[in-house]
Amino acid sequence: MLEFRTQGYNGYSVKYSPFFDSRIAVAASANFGLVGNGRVYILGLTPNGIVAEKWFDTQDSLYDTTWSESHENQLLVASGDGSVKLFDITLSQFPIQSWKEHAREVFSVHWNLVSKDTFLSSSWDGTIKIWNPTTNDSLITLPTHSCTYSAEFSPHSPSILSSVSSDSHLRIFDLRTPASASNHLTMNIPIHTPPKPRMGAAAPVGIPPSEALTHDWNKYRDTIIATAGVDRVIRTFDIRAPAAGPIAVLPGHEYAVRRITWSPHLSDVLLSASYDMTCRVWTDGSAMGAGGVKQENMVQQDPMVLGGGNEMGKMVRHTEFVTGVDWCLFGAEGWCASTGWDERVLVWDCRAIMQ
Amino acid sequence: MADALCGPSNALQNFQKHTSVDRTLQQDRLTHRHSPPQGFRSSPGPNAGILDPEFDAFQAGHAGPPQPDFHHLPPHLTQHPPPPQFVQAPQGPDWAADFQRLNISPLHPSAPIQHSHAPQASNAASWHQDFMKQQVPAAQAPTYQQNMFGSMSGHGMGGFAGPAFQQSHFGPMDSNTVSEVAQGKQQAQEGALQFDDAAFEAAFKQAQKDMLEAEVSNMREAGNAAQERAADSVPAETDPILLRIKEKRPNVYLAIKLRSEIDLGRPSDALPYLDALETLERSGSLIDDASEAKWCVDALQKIVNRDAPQVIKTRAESLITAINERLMSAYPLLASRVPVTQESIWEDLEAAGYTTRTPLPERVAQQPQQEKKEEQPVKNDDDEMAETAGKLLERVADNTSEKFQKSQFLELMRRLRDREVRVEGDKVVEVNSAQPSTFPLQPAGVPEIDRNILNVASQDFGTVMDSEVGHASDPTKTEPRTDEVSDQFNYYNINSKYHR
Repeated sequence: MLEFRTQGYNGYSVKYSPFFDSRIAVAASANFGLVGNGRVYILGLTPNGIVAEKWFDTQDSLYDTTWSESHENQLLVASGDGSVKLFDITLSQFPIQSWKEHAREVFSVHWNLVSKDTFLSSSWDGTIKIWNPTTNDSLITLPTHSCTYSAEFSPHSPSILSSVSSDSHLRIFDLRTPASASNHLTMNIPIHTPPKPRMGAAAPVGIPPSEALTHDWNKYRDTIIATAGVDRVIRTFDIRAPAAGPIAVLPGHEYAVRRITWSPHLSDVLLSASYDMTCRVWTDGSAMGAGGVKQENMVQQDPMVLGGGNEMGKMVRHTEFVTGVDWCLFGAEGWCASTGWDERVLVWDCRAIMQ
Repeated sequence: MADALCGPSNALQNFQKHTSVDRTLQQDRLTHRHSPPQGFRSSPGPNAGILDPEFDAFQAGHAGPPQPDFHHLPPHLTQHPPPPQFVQAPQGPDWAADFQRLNISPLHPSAPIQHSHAPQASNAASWHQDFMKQQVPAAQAPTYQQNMFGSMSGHGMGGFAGPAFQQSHFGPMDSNTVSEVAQGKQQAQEGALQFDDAAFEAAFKQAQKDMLEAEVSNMREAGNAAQERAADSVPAETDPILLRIKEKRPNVYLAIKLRSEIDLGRPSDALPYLDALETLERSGSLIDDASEAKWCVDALQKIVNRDAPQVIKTRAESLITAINERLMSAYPLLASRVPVTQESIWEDLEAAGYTTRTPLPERVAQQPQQEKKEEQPVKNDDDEMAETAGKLLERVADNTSEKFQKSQFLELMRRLRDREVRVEGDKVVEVNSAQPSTFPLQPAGVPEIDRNILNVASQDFGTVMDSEVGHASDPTKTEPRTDEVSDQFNYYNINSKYHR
């Protein structure tokens, strides 16, 4: 396990470079992001441990970062003052571009993984904006009418994107649809819907809506999205059957889940970071053989669990809320990086913590 | 739009929402239920209370046909076949009277219906006025009568609403007038009788009260004497703090001394205090103040639960029973509100510089006020921050894991809540020094006073004395005995006025 200390700044997001297996970006904020400056670190993994190759300071807190998919030296940050900034790590100090259209804190940025020519940002002002890095204004604004904590392009289509927000809904936008009254919104799935009643199990009880903080597209199954948030439960949805409710429910975290991400190597493995100061590795039970035994015995430990998934491991080294986690795209599967409010970035192999 | 949705006036507020399930929607629904539609009675007005029973009576009395078919009455409908009108006609006055009795119209000075209520309001004095007024419609009655039977069929709604409205008691007019007049007289007589009764009652009560007071003052004197005697019997107090308590609340003082002697393992020294308490109980002055009595009972209960010598235990037990019996008989259930407020005792104790507990709810209530006075200009943001931080801490209060106890973020929340730091511009600053500081805020030279130390110590004692908090009198739970001796030093609150 490698460690780096972001002295004076509390981590909010960590991302592996899609171009280099030894480069990590970390967005961090002073004073836990309540007030003060932000800083984005470019960390290099070297034989001597983690070193900070570069960092950029910003006037306001930083809440998210994402690497450019089209340029190996560029990355975006989401700022508390409503701006989105593009930095080039070969330059010394200032961002090469800054877009300020959002009225409130920007909480996520994400680059289009397929066409690679656009990126999106989502904000507490209740909108998602789509941008082209070469233009000065946003291309499209998609309203969600609630604080949108997380938005992402589908890794399978250049024109489909999704968001989760404080109204406990997962929204799917398809930019190919006409920009009618629905503003490209094609699907609006209530996350708190209880799963359908099953044979041999008590009917699920209704759950009050709660803020959804994070979600991620499965990298292999193009219709599967996982969501998580304040109700501490990770759920997966199949957007082919939006009314069917979650197809997997994974309880276990003790406080709100701040970030989840699907493995780039395995179709059923999830990594999550939570306010309970842990990172956990999960399988959603969709892989062959996983979780089947327990269901045959009809003795599930937790009646909340659905879909045969379970927690495979827990990383407890962080001493404050864990806010960011990301998988390494290269090398052996299982390497990942996490950051949190303990001013630390940990790079670790999650196979080591699995039982 | 977004302000309403996301609406944190500070960054922390939004974060705080992450820590629990948002229940605002359910609460919304509940609060909406509390606004019943105000129907036709837009403003209650002076008739509001009167109207209901009358309406009930109206409904009860005329469940059958009180509805004389309003749509028969408008003029353009008068060509309708006459039979129903003839059938209805005799009922007209009856219905009209009922209608008027309902007081739906604003109170009209000449409306005779008023008088059914007037006697109650202005008892005997106005009965003759009632009588006078009663005569007016009676004199006019014949014309109305004629009007009624003569041209009833030609009258429309307008007719009813206008002059016909006055025709209160057509058919039974005469008898009614008489009876009301008679009633008025009767009520006047009753009034006179009542007055005599009342005077007698008052005089009787006065006499009784005088006697009672004399008795009570006698008892007081006896009680005071007993108190003095009891106070004399115990060893002289040297501690100035306890001396003050002794002057103000002798009962509490005795209980405290008793308990501390037993805690210190000197049951023989405790005996005089127990004797004094028993004396006071027998004299009845122990329960002069129910709160103090309750206090003593709690303290004694604690002694019983501890491993004190058997002699003291049994005596304490019987004393508890005696006090409780006396308390219950002195303050009967429901007869009077028993003034059990231990807060005032605590206040007194604290004022005297002797404190064992910080009443938490009070502190929460008082602190914002003090803060407001201190720093008016930057108050709002800080208050909200502190409040939010407090809520957040409550949410994780039940988490006892080491990580959460050591968390710097939660420590910052604690300090925000306790106003040790505040947000100024884009910095977190110490309230006192106003120096920008990067968190973690390292103590400069002198180690910081851990404000929780007192809380922890006092909680130990607080549960002992304050059985209202619950489970304190649980005999199965033995308290940690390691700090038995040092316990007495916990009594001293170094923050109190006395030490300044």
